[in-house]
Amino acid sequence: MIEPLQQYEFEKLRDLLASVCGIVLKADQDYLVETRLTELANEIGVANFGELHRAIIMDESLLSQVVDLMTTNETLWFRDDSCWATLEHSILPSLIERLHQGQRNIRIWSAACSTGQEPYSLVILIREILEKQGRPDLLNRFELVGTDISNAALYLAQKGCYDPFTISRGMPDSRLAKHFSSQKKVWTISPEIRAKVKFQAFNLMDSFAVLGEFDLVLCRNVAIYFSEQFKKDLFRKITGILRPESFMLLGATESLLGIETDFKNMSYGNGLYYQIGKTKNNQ
Amino acid sequence: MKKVLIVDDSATLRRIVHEALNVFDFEIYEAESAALAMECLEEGPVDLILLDWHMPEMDGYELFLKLKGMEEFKNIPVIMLTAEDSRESMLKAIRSGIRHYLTKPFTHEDLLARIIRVLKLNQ
Ligand SMILES: C[S@@+](CC[C@H](N)C(=O)[O-])C[C@H]1O[C@@H](n2cnc3c(N)ncnc32)[C@H](O)[C@@H]1O
Repeated sequence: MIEPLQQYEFEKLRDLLASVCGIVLKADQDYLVETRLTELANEIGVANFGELHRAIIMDESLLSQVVDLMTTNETLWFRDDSCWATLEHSILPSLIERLHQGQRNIRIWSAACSTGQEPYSLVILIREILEKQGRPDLLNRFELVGTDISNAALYLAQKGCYDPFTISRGMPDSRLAKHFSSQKKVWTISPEIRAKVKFQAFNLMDSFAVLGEFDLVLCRNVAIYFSEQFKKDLFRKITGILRPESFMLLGATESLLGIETDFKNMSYGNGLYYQIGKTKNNQ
Repeated sequence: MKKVLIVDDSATLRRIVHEALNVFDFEIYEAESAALAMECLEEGPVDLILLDWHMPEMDGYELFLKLKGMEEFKNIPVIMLTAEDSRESMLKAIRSGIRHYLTKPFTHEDLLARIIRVLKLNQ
């Protein structure tokens, strides 16, 4: 068993998390570090948290596990009404219009997708809009990518199976009946919807070059953990992978206030969203 | 098939957690007290215990210490699911070998992610 966390070890780990992952811990959150990371420390067999600190510096895969353990995976279906109204009535119609104008495909990235509710909600909404327009075939031209740092969350996302409590957090009955099948009170998302999302492990601290370009990025309820500098880098990197005049959505409690970026502030009802211009200035 | 034992005196909580675990292919057992948990374990060990802290008679932490002293049960991983959220209790539990500690109300995303970790389901 690892020895209890000492104050100087907490400070070292806190500095490391702040400098390498931009995660900001408060001075009284030492118990969180100890209660969340002890299992990992025991698994890799270090004797104390000083050794864990050294191990994390040497091995990047440990860092991902630390970030995963220190952040929550909480998520909901169609989280925040205003965001989904914005998608339904403003952003998605304008993306569909791009297809009519001859653009080959629409690429959407759910940048911290946790257990899959966010990208699956999107596929459901896109499918509904296209059906209403009498063009269900256009779904083939949407590509969705869901990434997260948490391998465990991605494992659940890929499985696409949810218990009644998880379903009750935002999934309306009509959509449940239409897009899920159930057995023993476990709800499984339909294979066509599941097949629309490509899941992959990805740390938002890494370079985005491997991801390709996108028409829409959802970066929701993840930057809340990051320091100002990391937020600034994150939004600069997102700007870099957006196609001209493309969109970004944040969580309902987040904004770009006080952060210098190339985005224009846009709104639909109570919902805020962000769009970049025809040309990007700052890359 | 992995075997998981849920120990909680609240029938509602046991049901909600049981339903959450049904997304995996587990054999799931429930016990409403430490004594019934011991009876269940005497039938054979399990791969994971989800344990409430505050229960009448023997509490969850005492049950954990008792199991730790028994050769056949001492290595069973335990995740604590409890309303007990003082920092002292959390540290005491983790320092004595509880793998993870989730305070009620916990999200199912976090509960299932911890279970996947502990049982290495994604490897
Ligand atoms: C609170 S959830 C938000 C999920 C979803 N976007 C929503 O709004 O409902 C935050 C997610 O961010 C992930 N995360 C935290 N830090 C990350 C990082 N550096 N890179 C990628 N994902 C990260 C966590 O694993 C967690 O699943």
